[in-house]
Amino acid sequence: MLGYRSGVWLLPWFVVGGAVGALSRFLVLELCSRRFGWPAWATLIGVNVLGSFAIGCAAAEIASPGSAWVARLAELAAADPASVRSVLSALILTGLCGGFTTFSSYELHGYVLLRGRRHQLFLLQFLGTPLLAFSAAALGWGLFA
Amino acid sequence: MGAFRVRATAERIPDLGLRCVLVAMGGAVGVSLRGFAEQCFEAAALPGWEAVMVCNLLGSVLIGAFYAALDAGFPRPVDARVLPGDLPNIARKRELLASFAMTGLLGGLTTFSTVSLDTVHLIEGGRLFEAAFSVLGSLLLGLAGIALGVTLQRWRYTRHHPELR
Repeated sequence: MLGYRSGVWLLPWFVVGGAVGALSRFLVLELCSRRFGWPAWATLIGVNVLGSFAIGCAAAEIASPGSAWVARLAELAAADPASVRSVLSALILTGLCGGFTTFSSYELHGYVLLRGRRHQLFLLQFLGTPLLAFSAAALGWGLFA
Repeated sequence: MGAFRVRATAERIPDLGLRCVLVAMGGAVGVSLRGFAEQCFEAAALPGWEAVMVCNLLGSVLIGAFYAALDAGFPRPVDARVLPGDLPNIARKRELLASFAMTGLLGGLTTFSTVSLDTVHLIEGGRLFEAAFSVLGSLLLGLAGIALGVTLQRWRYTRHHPELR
């Protein structure tokens, strides 16, 4: 992603990031549904927007040439900054944020709302999610770039 | 007090621990597949948003099929095909399979945050046509993909059960 180094050696970072990201989404959805009674489609808007904001911040921090975090991690792991960037990209961007947010459930909720003839909720969910999520990603990118 | 409430809520969720494990396993596999797809597209010198779009559309078709197979409210004759001893557990088995396949695997395979980030990058780079195609194509084709998955699964179920059509 974003032109970082790639290879099979990144697989463990995908696995860890994906497991943690998907698990966090599952727990957020379950707790909001059981504790507050929120419908899954409404909680998922928040999940996707939050994940998009996080990926904007993280991508900007990882990509910035003078990032103190990347320099510190490279020093700690005795690795070159390019490898640290590709590991962080696999772990945080593709794994954590990518596993936390989801497109398939978003589309499925839209389909169910549409088939249930709840047209206003469908428009709110189907158009609101991308608008809010793109703004959140742009905000995060702008804050850290 | 807050922690106590979370714990009390968690205790009311059936199979919470097992489902957490299944979701984490599914998420690991799904994200690895998407990471592999991204690397393949990168090796073929194709833009990253195309890999994400392919993963998202594939995941949409598959989640439509799983929804038609697993959702409690969906009419299907599948109970006729399982052994009588399985019947009391069929709802639980569907729930566990949905946790692994829908929440974990397909939730990890598809992503919204990367679409957001790629769109911001494309707009920032002045590639407005690609941004519009990526976003509108994903959203509309994704909805069509869900309908396709549901239709295929429904066709599978109703092939031998014309009364359910």
